[in-house]
Amino acid sequence: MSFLGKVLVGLQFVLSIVFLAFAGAVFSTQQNWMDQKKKVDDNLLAVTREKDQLFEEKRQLEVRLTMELANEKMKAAEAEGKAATSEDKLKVAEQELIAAKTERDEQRTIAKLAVEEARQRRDEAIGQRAVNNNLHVLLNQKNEKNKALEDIVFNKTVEEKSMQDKHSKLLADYAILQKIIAANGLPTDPKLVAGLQTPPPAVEGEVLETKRGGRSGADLVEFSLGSDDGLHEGHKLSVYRPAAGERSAQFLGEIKIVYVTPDKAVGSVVLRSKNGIISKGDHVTSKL
Amino acid sequence: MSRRSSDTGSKAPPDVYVGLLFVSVSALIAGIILLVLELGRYNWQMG
Repeated sequence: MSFLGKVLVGLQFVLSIVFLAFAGAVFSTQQNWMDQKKKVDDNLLAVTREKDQLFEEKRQLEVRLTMELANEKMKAAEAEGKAATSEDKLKVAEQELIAAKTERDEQRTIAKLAVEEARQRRDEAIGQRAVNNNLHVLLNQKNEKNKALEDIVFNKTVEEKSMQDKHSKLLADYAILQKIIAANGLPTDPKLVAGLQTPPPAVEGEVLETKRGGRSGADLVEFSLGSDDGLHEGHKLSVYRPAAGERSAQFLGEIKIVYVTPDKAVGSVVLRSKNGIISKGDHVTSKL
Repeated sequence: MSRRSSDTGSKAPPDVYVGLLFVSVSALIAGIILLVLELGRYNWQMG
């Protein structure tokens, strides 16, 4: 075999090995693009169907949502109407509530005033009850006193009647006695009688003036005592001269009151001591 | 010389080149089989 044949045999060997390697590589690693295409077509078909289904669902959903939206809008409008109505009612209710609160406050104030008034009236009633009880007690006492006074009045009436009878009798006796006194020429002046019958009170005065009487008349002495001192005509008083220095007191005489004024009186000398001359400044007394 | 050898009628002992040719034929047949199998996957559709 020539050299060229040997070269060709060697080249054929190398190329056949290369061919085998490429065929094995293609067989072992090459993908089946037909199967891949089929799978892709199937996937595309499924996706298309799913898309159509989704579109249908979308359309149905849109229709349903549109209807629901319309319903919700209607409900919203109705709810807004109800809300407006409720708001109006709420405003009216709030106004009524405010009015009710105001009235409640007024009623509460009135109730407080009424309670206070009731308390005051109760206290007043208690006080009036106590006063009433006191008045009842006082009334009973007055009734008892009235009965006692009625008894007294009755007794006094009886006594008055008796006194009137006695007075009538005494008037008759008095008339008879006056006739007897007039027939005997005795004085009837009560002052003279009082001076004769009652002693003079314990008084002491001073001689203001003296007047000497004539031969047949008595001496008159004016002194500083009168009816305000309890003296009456007919009372007898002593006249003396008080002690002065070495001179001792001297009895001058006794006078009988013949005229009396409220603060002065005049008496006539009824008893004169020896060498006793009554003069202005001597003392008059009823104590001796 | 080779003619003479054939002329002599005596069989020449297979040398290394015969072995290479045998291996080459075997590789070609195996490669063809693999390609046929690959083509069978496509159902013999070439287009």
